[in-house]
Amino acid sequence: MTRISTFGVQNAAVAQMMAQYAKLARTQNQLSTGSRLLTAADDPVAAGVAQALDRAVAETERYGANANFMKHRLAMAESSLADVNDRLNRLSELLIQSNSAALSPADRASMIEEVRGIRDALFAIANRADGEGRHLFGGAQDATAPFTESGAGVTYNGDQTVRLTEIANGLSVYDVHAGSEVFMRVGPGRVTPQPDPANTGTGVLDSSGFTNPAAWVPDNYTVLFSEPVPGTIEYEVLDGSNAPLAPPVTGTYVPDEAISFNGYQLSVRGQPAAGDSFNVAERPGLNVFDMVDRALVALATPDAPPAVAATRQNETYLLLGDLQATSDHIVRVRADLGTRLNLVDQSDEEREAQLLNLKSTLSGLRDLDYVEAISRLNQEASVLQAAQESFTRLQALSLFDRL
Amino acid sequence: MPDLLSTSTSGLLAFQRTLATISHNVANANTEGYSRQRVELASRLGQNLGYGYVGSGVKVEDITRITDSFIFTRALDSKAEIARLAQISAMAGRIDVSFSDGTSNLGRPWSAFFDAAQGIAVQPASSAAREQFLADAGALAHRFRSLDAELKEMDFELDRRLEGNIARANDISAEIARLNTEIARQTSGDAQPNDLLDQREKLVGEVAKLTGALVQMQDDGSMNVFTPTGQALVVGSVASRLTAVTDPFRPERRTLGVSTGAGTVLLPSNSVGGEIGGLMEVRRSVLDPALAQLGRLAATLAFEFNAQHRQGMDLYGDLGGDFFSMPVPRVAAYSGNAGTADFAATIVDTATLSGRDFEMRFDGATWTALDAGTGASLTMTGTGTLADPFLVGGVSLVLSGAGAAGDRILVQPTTGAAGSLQLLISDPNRIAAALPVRASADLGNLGNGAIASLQVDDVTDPNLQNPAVIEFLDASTYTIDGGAPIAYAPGDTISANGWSLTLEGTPQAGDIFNVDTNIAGSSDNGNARIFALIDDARVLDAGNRSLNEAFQGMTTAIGTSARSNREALDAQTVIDARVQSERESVSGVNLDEEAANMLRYQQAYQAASQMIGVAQTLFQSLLNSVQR
Repeated sequence: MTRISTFGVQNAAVAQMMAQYAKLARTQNQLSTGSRLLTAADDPVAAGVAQALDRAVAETERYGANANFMKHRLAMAESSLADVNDRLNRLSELLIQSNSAALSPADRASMIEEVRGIRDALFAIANRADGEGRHLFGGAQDATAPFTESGAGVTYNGDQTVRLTEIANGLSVYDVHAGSEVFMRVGPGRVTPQPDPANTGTGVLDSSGFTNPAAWVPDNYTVLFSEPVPGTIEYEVLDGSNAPLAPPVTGTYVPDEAISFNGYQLSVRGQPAAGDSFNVAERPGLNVFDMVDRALVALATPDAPPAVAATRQNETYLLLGDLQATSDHIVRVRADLGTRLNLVDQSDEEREAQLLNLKSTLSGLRDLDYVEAISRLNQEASVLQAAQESFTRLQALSLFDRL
Repeated sequence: MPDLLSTSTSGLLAFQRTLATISHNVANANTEGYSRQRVELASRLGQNLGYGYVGSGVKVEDITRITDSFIFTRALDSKAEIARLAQISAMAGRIDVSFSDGTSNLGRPWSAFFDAAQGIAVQPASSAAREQFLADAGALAHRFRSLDAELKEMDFELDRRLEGNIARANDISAEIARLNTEIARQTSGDAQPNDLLDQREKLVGEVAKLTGALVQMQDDGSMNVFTPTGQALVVGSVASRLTAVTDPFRPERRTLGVSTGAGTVLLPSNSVGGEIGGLMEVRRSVLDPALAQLGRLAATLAFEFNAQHRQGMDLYGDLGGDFFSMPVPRVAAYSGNAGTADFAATIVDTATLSGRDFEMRFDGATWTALDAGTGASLTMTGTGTLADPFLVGGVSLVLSGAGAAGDRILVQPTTGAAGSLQLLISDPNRIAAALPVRASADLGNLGNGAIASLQVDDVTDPNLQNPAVIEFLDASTYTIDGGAPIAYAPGDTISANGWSLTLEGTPQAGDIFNVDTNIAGSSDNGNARIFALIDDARVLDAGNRSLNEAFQGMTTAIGTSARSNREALDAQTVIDARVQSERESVSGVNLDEEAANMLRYQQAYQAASQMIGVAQTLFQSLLNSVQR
C-alpha cells in the first residue's frame, strides 16, 4: 500500500501547477514575440546559424545599397558620355560644313560661336558632379572640379584611381573611369600623318591609314617632298633617323596616288613644295579639349592664300579623324560602363534570390508556427485549469470534515 | 489481584499519549522536515495467579520516528545536486539572455559596424558615411565593454554569494554540532529526542544544499557530516570553519578554503558540491570561458582591424594608426612565487590565439607552458628575451625578473579583453580608407596600358610612399627608377617599395607609369574595401575560422551551456521530486490516516473509561453487599 502524505500531495500539486504555468508563460512569450527562439538556449545551433544568417541578410541588403549607389553613378556617367558624343558629332558636322568653300564670314563667325559653346559644354560635362558632392570624372580626387581651365588649355587635376566596390558576395564592380582616361588620353598609339608646320606648298592630306597593320614597324617616319628636276615633285619616305627605308620608298608625286610603306599608306593632293614633309608616327593619346581648341583655330583660318588654306584643310582632315577616334573611344568607355551597369543589374537579381533564400531559411529556424503555438497554448491552459480544479477537489476531501 | 482500575487507567494513559502524538502529527502536518511519530504500545506483563497470567494493561513502549536512513541519504545527495545545478543553470541562463536579447546582444552592433564599413567602401570621402562608421564602431566597442562588464558583475556577485553561503554553511555546521551534543545528552536507551533529530536532519539537508554532505552516525547518536570528497564539516560536537580566501592567481577573487589549526588551506574547487560547489563550477565552466571567448572576439577584431587600418591613408594624407585599442593579455604571478619573474605579454597572431588560459611554470632551469584548464603541455618557442620572446598560442611573452624553481605565472590571453576595447579615433577624417600610394599612366604614353590594380603589401617599407617611375624599354622589359631591366609579360605583377600593381592593355617602349604617395582628401577606397571583408576573413584557428564564424560559435556555445545545464537541472528536479515523495510517503503525515487513528484511539479511550465505570460499579456492588 502506498502512503501519500498530505503535505507531499500539496507540494507536488503546487510544483506541477507552477511548472505548467511556466510553460504557459513561455508559450505566451513566444506568441507575443513571434519567435520560436527566445534565447540561444532554446536551440543553440539554430540560434548560432540564425545569427550568421542575420548578418548575411544585413550584408546582402547593404550590398543592395552599394549597388544602387553604383547604378546611380554609372548611369550618370553613361548619360554624360552620351552628351559628349552628341557634342562631338555636332563638332564633326560643323567641321565638314566649314570645309565647303561657300561660307560667308558671318556663317564662319556663328560656327565659331557654336564650337565655343560645345567646348564649354564638354568642360561642364567633364566636371559634372554625381549629386552627392563628388565629381564623376575625378578619380579619387573628386572633391573639387577635376578639370580646370588655364591659359594653356585644360588641365586634369584628378588622379587615375578607380574604386572597386563590392555589390554582392565576391562580386565587385569598378566605378566610373578616371577623367584622364575619358578626356585626356584618347586613342594612344594611333598612327596619324602630320604636316610639317613649315610647309609652303598646297599639299593636302586626302587619305591615310593602314593597309596591313601587321607590317607596321613603329618609328617616326617622314614623307619628304623634293624637286630634283624642276617641275617634277619626288617623294621619299625616311625613318626616324632620317635615313631611307630599306628598300627605299621613293617615287614621283602624283596627286591622290597612294604612298605606301610598312603596311601604311597615305595620299596627298594639291601641290607640295620642295622641302614640304608629312610626319607619320604613333601619337600619344589626344586631349578632347585641345581638339576643340584646334577646331576653333582651324575655323578661324582664312581661305587665302592657298598655302594657309592648305593648313586649314589638313587640320580639318586630321580633326575629323581625331573626332572619329574620340567617338570610338567614347563608345568603348560607354560600353564599359554599360557592362558594369549590367553587372549591377544582374547582381540585383542574384541578391533578391539570395535574400529570399536567406530569409526563408531564417524564418524556418526562428519564426514561430502560430497554429502549433496557439493549439499548444490552449492545451497548456486547459491542463493548468484541470490541475487547479482537481487540486481544489482533492483539498476538499478530508476525513476531519466528516467527524 | 489484577487491578481492573489500574488496567483501565493504563489504557487511558496510553491512549492519551497516543492521541497526543496524533495531535502532534496533525499539528506538524505542514512542517518541513517533520517525520511522523508513532506510539508503540505493548501489553504490560501479566500477574501469575497460579492458574495463569492475568493481563495487567498496556504501556507506552516507545515513541518512534518513522524514517528511512537510505531515503535520507538520497535526499541529501539530491538536494546537493539540485542546488549545485540550480546555481550553474541560473548563471548560464543569465549569460544566455544577455547574449541573446535583441537589445543587449552583440549581433546588431556587430553587423552594423561591418555594414558601415561597406558604407565607407562605397563612399570613402563622404563625411556622413565616415561619421556613421565611427558611431557604429563606438557602439560596437561599447557593447563589447558592457557585455564584459555584465559578466564581471556576475563574477563579483558570485564572490558575494560564495562568501554568504560559506558563512551560512559555517553557521549551520555549528548548529549541527550543538545539536549533536544535545542529542547525545538527551538520548537514553531507546528514548530519543525525536524532534531534535528532525531538526538536525533538516539542518544537515540545508548544509547539503550548500556544500553537499555525507553523513556518518555515531554510537552516541551524534552525526558526523563530511563534504562529498571527505572534508569534515562536523565531527561530533566540533564544526570546522570554511572560509572564503583570496584566489592566489587573481587577488580580486574569492575561492574556498578551510581554517585549520595551522592556518587556512585552499580546497580544490571540486571538493564541495551544493551551491558553493555550483558557484565555483559555474565560474570555471561557464563564466570564465564566456569572458575568454568574448575577449578573443574583441582582441581578434581589434588586431585584424588595426592591422588593416594601418595599411591605409586618412583624409589628411597621414598613414592610418590604430583604430581600436589593442587589449593586453593579463599576466598574474601565483601569490606564493618565490622569484620575481614577470612577463610582458602581447597578442601577436590571431590564427593561433585560442583564448584559453595557460600557466607558465619554471623548474629552476626552463620555463614550460601548460594549459590552465587541462594541464596539457603547450608548444612554446623562443627564449623569452625581447629579441626572441616566448611564443605560446599567439601570445608573445618577454621575461623580466628572475624566476625561482616552482614559480607559476598565469597568462590569460583574452579574458577581460572585451572590457578594454576602446575606439581610438574620434575624427572621422582619420579613418584611413585610401591606399597610401596611387599609380597612374603617363598621359604621353603611346601604349594603351593602364593601371588594373594596386595594393600595398608592406606598409612598413620606408620607401613605400617615395615616387617611383616604371618605364618600359619595350613591351616586354621595364625598369623601376632606372634600375636593372626586368622582364614583363602581360598580367605580370610589378612590385617595389612595398607596393605591387598590375597593368591592363599593352605598354609600349617609352611608356611611363608613376607610383606616388597618395594625397590628402583622396576618395580612394582601396583600404576601406578590405575593412568590410574582415568579418569573413579566415583569421582564426589556423586560418580555418572567420570572425563571423567565431561569433556564431560563441553564441552556440553559450546557448548550449545554458541548455544542457537547464536540462540537467530539469532532470534532477524530477529525481528530487521522486526522492521527496518517497520520503513523504514514509515520513510524511497523512491527515486521513491521523483522523482514522484518532477515531480509533478515541474509541479505545472511551472504552477504557467505560471499564473504569465497570470497576466502580463492581466495587459499589461489593460495598453494598457488605453494608447489609
